[in-house]
Amino acid sequence: MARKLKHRLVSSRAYNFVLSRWQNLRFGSQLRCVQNRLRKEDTCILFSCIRNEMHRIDAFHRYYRALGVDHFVFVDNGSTDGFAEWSAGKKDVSVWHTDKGYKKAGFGVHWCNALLRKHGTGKLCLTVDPDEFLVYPHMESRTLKDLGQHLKEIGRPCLHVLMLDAYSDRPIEETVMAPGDDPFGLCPYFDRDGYVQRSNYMSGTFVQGGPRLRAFNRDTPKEAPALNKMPLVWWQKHYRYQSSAHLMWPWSLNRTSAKTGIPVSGALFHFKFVSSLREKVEEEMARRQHYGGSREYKRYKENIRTTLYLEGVSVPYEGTDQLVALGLMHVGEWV
Amino acid sequence: MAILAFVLIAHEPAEVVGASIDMLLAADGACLVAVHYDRNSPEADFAALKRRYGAQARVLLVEDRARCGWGQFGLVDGTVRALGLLAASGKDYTHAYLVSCSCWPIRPLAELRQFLDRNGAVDFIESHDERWMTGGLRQERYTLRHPFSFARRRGLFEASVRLQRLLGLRRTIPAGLTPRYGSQWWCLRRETVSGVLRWVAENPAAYRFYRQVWIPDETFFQTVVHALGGTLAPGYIPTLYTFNLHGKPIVFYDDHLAWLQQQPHFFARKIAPSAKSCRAALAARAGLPGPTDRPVLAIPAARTRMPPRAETVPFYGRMFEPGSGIRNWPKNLETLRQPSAVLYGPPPLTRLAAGILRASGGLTVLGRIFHAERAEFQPGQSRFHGLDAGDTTLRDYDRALFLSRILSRATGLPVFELCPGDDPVLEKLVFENETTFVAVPLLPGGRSPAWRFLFWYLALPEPQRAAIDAAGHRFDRLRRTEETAARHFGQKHVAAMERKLFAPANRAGLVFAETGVPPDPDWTTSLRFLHGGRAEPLLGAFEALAEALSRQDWRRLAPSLAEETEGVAARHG
Repeated sequence: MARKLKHRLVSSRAYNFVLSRWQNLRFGSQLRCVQNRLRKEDTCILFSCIRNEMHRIDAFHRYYRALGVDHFVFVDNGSTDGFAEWSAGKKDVSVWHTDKGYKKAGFGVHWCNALLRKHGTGKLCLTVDPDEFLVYPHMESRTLKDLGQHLKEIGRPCLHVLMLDAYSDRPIEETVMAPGDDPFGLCPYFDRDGYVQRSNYMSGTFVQGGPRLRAFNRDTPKEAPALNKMPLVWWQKHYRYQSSAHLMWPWSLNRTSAKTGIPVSGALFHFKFVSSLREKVEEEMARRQHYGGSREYKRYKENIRTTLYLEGVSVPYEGTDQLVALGLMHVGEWV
Repeated sequence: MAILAFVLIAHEPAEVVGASIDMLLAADGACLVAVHYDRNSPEADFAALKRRYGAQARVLLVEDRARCGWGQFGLVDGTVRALGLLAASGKDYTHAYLVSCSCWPIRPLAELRQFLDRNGAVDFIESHDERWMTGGLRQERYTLRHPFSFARRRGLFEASVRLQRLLGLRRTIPAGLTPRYGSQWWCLRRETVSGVLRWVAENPAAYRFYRQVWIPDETFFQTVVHALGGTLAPGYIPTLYTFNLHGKPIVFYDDHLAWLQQQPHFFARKIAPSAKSCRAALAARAGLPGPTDRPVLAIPAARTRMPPRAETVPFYGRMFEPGSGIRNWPKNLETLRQPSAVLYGPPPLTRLAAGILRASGGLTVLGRIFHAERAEFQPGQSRFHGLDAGDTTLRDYDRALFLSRILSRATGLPVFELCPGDDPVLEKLVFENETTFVAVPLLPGGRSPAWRFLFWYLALPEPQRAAIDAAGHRFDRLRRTEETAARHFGQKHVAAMERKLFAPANRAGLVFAETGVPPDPDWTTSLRFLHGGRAEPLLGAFEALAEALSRQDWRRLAPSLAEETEGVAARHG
């Protein structure tokens, strides 16, 4: 009974309206604008929450510029590695700074929500972490804006993606990423199958899999992290990310398939499994600012020496057609 | 030689419109371009166009412009005004060709002129009756008034339709007009254009009628040309357009270039604004002085419907496949498109049969993959292409996914062992899904229901069998077998499986008996029919299997059920 009532409450419009206003007020006020260089003509904006990511920021910035992102909006959660100097020299980067707790801010999503509402409404917004690299069908010849236009035409406000954990064929701690390195070259492998899905009318499709299921949670599959995300959204002011961009309000956004079939979908390469994970893990174990009592980070600590490459499951990334052929990504009607 | 006059309906920024005009002027040295620029677009853009083309004699800009919008009369009115301007200018042309800024030539315009010369007696405009429309309003496009924009005032549009239906308001179609429908894009001869302009001048009331017809651009010219009684090219227009399932035009990008160039059309829409290299390549091709190697000179028969696409077959485990991940074997098996053979029977028999099949080759023979304690792959192997035998928790987290991963890794026809108790739901379904599974039941003794005791006795695990053996009398052992099987596998499951295995009509499967009953020819023929060449190695191995099974003696496998028979035989002998 209590559960039912709770469910009614969290899926009610009034509750979500009040909650999102309150969150935007509370977490929006934690952000201090360092530089706002947004222009009116920026239609495709990337939002990201970062902390000490200088070793990959250049590759990240270059990659998304090439896909057609007009502007980058960063929430800097107390970086100490020279991010401020880097961003000061970039014309297409705006920065908001905060030293407040990452965990309290819903692992950064509340900060992003506040900025998305203020600066992203009506725009094509891409919300990714700095270790996530989006791929989508035909990306070799079509831009993110083309994709956005197609989504608009088929009446879908967002793009669903599968997060693919990328790794190398060496132990994690020996996979060293230097600034400017191409992450796809360093970690070319991903799991070609084994993604467990649970579809639900309300919350869309919950996906688990990859090395974080088969290597870190082989006896506790229920605890494996979610791999479904919605990073690309035509933002509207009542939209809101919940639970680190795996869920969205309103819940109709979470549905992954329509009557006309499965629409175009993408994949998000996740380059977490490099040597910098060790420092990150040590820092997080002290800060305790990650999901589930940093349960996941304990797993990473135990497994830092393992090699994630597995013969028969791991394949090197060759291109978007490969992901479509494997059934991990869909072309939909975007032929 | 044909002289083209392009009627360009535009609303884009001035530089985009300018690019289209420049491309047309450059590709054809003799053509005219009459531009109607939407009055809803910024005035500054029109001023820029006027500055740019004011002195260009081949470009005519409509000064008195209409307001345009998707599905609105402005598109028709603008076109008519541009045609009027062409007529008033007194310039010489033979064909008027309607284009927008998303239309881009895909063949040399010289080839288009040749094509029009050869087919000078027809107009290119689609003309269908109302069955052409695939959904939405049909007759009501004409019989209701549509004062609101569908794109911008959706709610008002629908409310007005509902209100008029409720009040029973209907408009009468002007006399002499039979509504015809078709694609907005056309290429008309000058005589036909004059006829349309004359019709507009002579029938101002009927022309006004179209102000409140819905999507008039898909019906006005079609209807008037039909009323004028011109000769039309059957089912072909030189503009290529395709729609997706949502009724939206398919947009072409750089990667469509090669495909576009092969199509038997002269213009294509829509080419994405970002497809710069595609646009440049096509513009260069449009300007070629002569036709291509494979020119289109006669009117092609078939209309292009869809760009080529790789047909993807749904399969279990495909991302976002509806129904994926639910614990429902019947639903899961619908998307499991790969057939596999299942050896079903007591473990000693499946083990024996798997060994024989493994030796015969051409098949991927696996062990009891759904064994409760460990997934058995090939003998002595704990891994099967990245799957671990010990990962039973992961396997049971999504068994259908596990099965589909096994199937996708098999090189030959996959064969696996399934024993009673491994997965009760799947055991039943194996016998019900002929397309997904080749069920090979292995029956010890024979098909007669009496042999079910032996079947369940052999299927039970060792401790239970020992408990049965402990009974003193043979009759007790049989009864205990029945009871223990019902307890161990579930009464309902035992009954259901017995109905499938020992029904009088059942001819499938292999019987493991002293006589060595060969597989039923009817059954093997049906397998050949269902699975084709893939099942051939399995069918070839059946003979050997029946042979080898007949050499076994069930008395050795179940001595406790055998001894008393022999005792009786000894007594009487």
